Amino acid sequence: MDVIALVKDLINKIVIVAWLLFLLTWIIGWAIKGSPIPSSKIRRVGQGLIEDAVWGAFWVAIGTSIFWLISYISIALGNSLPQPPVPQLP
Amino acid sequence: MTFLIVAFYLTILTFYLGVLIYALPIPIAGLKRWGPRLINDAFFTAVIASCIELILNFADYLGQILGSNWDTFFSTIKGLLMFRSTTIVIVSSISSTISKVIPGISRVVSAGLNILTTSLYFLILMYFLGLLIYFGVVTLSSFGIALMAIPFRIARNAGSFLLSFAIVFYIGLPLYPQFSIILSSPLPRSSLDLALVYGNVRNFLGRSIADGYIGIKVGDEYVGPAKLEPRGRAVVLIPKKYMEEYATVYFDVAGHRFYTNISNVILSSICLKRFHEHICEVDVEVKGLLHYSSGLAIHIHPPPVKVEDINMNSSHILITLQTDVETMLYISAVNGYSITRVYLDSTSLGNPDKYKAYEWTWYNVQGATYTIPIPSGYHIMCIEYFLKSSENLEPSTEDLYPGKILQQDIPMNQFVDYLAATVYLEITSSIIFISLLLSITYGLSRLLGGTRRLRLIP
Repeated sequence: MDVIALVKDLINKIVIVAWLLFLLTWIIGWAIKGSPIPSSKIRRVGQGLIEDAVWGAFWVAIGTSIFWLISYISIALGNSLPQPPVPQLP
Repeated sequence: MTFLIVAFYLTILTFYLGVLIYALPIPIAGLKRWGPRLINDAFFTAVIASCIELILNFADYLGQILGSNWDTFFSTIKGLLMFRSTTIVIVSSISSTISKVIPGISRVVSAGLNILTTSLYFLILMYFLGLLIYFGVVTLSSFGIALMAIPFRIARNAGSFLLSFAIVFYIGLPLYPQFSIILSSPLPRSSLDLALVYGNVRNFLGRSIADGYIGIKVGDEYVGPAKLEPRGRAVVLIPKKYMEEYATVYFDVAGHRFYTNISNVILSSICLKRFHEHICEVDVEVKGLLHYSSGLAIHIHPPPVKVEDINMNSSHILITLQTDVETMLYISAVNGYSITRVYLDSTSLGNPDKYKAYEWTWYNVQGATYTIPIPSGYHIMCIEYFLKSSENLEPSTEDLYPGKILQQDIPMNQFVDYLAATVYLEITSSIIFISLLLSITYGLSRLLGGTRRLRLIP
């Protein structure tokens, strides 16, 4: 039970940090992309950062929906959070 | 159960960790690649964690197709264990008799005994593995999934190994008896091939008989007398070819061979629940016998309607019965007993010697039979006796059984063949089988935990 509480706590913290980080990375990425540095390689780094930040935000937003979908499918296939089968004594 | 809940939450944690890494402003490619990897892993493990019951049902279904049945597995292994341990007991008891005849054979026999004991250990190992997998398949697989769900693939290999171990052994372990039969069938069979016949012995009233000797007659050969195990269990080793011939089982006590319900039948056709071709369980009912203990047998014919009670203590036997025809009570006692008085419904019947019908020799013990007529009706018989000596009440039969089994013609190469075919069978077949299952486990775990994954997302 302690493990589960710890994990839940960690999940909450990580979600908050992820949202903030997404914002931060997006800002930094646009800053690099739009900066007047002459090397195009560095500006491509900025482009990459923006893309990844947007993907991250996308996954955070629909993460819960996908997990709900997985458990819905498994319930539809016949198991809830699974009951272990009871073996009969030989 | 909690393992699965932990696994589910761990997958959610892994997912968000992957998202976090995606959102990190550090542009190092090696680090960034962990983002999609973790997200993939989370989906994969979440699917497995929620479908575990489906997986186990599928494993059951596969097992049914392959013919693996846990009930027959446990019964066969228990029967084989009993067979092996009986063989060990018999071989160790023979070694003392044979070593008087052939000096030096005791070394060979004790080496053979060591090997037999090792093969017994391997059988016990298979039994224990069976218990572990049968009762723990859900726990083991949930624990494996929980390990797989730990982020950054730390315990993924270990978890997938546990999961595939549980599933592969759940499907494959009950196939072990068929496997050992496949291994052993091409091996040469010698005339020493033995089969085990065992069962409970009871009298015609349904009471179990705790003491006595069982013999099996096939044609002109008589295998026995085999002393009953404690609590009335008969265990007899006979040459395997006798299983397919007409056999009669006798209850061999006090100078008489009493008929049982197994009379002139082919043994392999009356075995209950035949799990293994060398093991046969039968149910033996001795006709007409009321009681036997330590050289004193009480027999009645024709059988009475009802016997209420038979009570025997150190000085007398009390029998309460009801019969509707005139019947005859036979008391067969070895000469260590001396019957002092007989009472029928509290009237003394006089000197018991006038009831002595005949004397007999039971292997190497002398005795006599007294016949007492009983009129019809409800009677209480009291037979007072006196035990003159408590030695020599039962014959010494080691040279008859099991000694005689191995005293048939044993050419040395056949003995070695027998040793190889039966004794080493368990050792080699269990080692080969477990290593087969383990390599299948390894393959399945590579599939489940492999690093080359289909990329779900770029």
